Amino acid sequence: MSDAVVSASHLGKAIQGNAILRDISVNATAGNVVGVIGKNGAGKTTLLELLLGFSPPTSGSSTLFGHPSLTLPASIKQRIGFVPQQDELVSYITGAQQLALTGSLYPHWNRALIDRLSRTWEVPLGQRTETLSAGERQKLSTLLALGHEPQLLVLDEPVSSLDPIARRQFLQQLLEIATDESRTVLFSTHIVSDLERVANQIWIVREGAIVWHGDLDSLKESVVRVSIRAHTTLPDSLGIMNALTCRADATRATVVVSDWHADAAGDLARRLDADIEVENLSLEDIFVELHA
Amino acid sequence: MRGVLQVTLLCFSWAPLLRRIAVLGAALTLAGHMGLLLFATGGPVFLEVVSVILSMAFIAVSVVLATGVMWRCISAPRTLRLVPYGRLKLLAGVLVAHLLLASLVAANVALFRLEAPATPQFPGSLASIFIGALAGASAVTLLFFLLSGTPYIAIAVTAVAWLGDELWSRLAVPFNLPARVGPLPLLAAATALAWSAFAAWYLRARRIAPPSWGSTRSGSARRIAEIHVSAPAAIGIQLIGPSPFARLRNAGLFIAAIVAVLLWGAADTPSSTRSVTTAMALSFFLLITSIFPFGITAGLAGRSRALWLRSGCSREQLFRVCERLGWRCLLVGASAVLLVLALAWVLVPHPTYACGRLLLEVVALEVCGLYVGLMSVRGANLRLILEVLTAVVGWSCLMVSLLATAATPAIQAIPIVLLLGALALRPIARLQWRELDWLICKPARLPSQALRPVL
Repeated sequence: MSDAVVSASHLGKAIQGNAILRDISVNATAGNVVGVIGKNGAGKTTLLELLLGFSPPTSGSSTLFGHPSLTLPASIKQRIGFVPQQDELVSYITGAQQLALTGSLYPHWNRALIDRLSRTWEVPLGQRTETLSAGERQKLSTLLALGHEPQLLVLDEPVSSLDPIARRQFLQQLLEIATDESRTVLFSTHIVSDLERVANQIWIVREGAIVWHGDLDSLKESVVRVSIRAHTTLPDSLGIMNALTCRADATRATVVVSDWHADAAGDLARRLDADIEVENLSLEDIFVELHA
Repeated sequence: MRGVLQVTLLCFSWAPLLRRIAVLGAALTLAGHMGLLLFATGGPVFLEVVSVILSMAFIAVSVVLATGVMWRCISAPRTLRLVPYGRLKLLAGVLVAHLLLASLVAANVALFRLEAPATPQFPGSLASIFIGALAGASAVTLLFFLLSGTPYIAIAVTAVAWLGDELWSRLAVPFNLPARVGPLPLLAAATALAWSAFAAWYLRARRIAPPSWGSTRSGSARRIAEIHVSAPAAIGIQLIGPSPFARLRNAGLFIAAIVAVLLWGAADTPSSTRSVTTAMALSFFLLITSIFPFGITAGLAGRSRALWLRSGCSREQLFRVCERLGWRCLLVGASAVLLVLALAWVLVPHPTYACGRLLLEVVALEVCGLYVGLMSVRGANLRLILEVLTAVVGWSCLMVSLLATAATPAIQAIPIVLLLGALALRPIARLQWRELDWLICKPARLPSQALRPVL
């Protein structure tokens, strides 16, 4: 059995003939915070829900703690916390009652943690759930997912409705959770700066496929912007491998390249008779370039 | 003007279910009139008449049952106040819808008179039919609007039954009932006064609360936080909501209202309009009760999504939990029917229906509805089709039983056929739950601001 907490192998999903996910193979191991990033409609939510067994895949398979997602035993489910994109709070009861309800479904419930977090996040637990704001509902949903201290925490766009202060507090808390090396956090977002702050691994989803997965640092090192200033006219094709985007005129070109190696700069300068400048990109720039 | 007309159109079609019912009603109306044109002079016209009446009922129900609640839904958002004359456009649109409905009913009757002059006819004028239909529909809509913000929706439901039946018996197309048309000017004045008073309040109200579908009081819910809740109880609350006491109170109110109608009907002679109206109100109660388990179980697949990880249950176990909940609701419904039928048997000295057979039929319909509801795992479209089918089959079975003069073998076989059907549906439902896809099957949400783009 592999030590992957989350594993997907050639996972695919089609609904009514439309391919939502295609051939996804990824792993996440304990102690990592994995950020799933992609544009709206890229397939992030579908991927997370397939991994958690909410939906049977059309092809491939996925496991959580080594067990097939679709037939997770209760002992494994108790180790998972999930914050869905659309909350599933019960109407006509208060936040405190919702917490009590959910707590009664688990053999272990850390009430002290929940009390502390609800105070820090200023969740009005005395109010009925339908009267809470979107951000408050999101915080309450997150509390519901944390109370049983899961080893795998999956959050689907958990900060989209939070204000900047609440977001910062929330991400800080996420970091605290992640410092426990037995835990894994998997969260999707399209707020790149948040992801940069907490994630150490990243899965980039584009049009239902994973276009990049691995360490955040290696992504930032491997994708660069190359500025070319030629002494003569540039050829029509620059012949740069793994070029993601290219903007060029007669003597100047800007190319974003993935899997860049430092040796390549010298080769390129000689071949094109040009001055080469290589610049590292922020995650946001990389995200934009990958989707260009 | 365009906004007003769009509101009018929406009154007939705001929910997909109602749209389908309205289309079905229109198709039946057409079929009925065609049938009458072809067979009125010679052969029996019973079937055609029934189709006309059913279609009229469907269209009427589709508009009057829904408009009040829909209207409240879209009147609630505060942003509506930012739309120029938003509330006025809504009010005008709904009023036009009611005028249109009354015109359709009157036109339907006029056509019927032309097509089948030989059949027994209601002696009232077309004006009386128009005013009767307008008054009935208006009362129902306004009642629904006012009461859907409170827990007293049960009274509104009963009022719908009573008013609908009154309206029906006034139209009296298939039955040669004695005319009991009240003073028309008085009815017309009362309707105009009701609309005016309502408009005066509606246009000035600072805040209109959205419809409340359960208890807004947390008396019973408060106990959840204070007392330890067992896991099965927590699962039940997650699936069907937190406040069984409020539901029981509403059911009690509903039953009390039906008993009041029975008492009202019992005071008249067997052949009177009142007696028929009472029977019709009872049939409405039976229909509501018989589709109650369906109403509960149809939403369970979507809501069980939240329990997939938290409860630790597999899909199969969740199916069994939901099935048990459905059976519990079924027993509550059957007990209510038993109580009402027993009271009807005692209170109405001349029942034209067999209480025992009706009870059996309701239970059989409930069992069928329970499993049809559990089968609703393939998204909203299939759920809506199943809803329409369940309502139509349930209504047809009950009407056949209630209107039959003698218990023929075919009528006696109805509950048995329904129970056999339910037996066949269970394994299908179970199989569907094994592959339940919560990406497709999501909890239904009420539309709240559907009209904003229209206005």
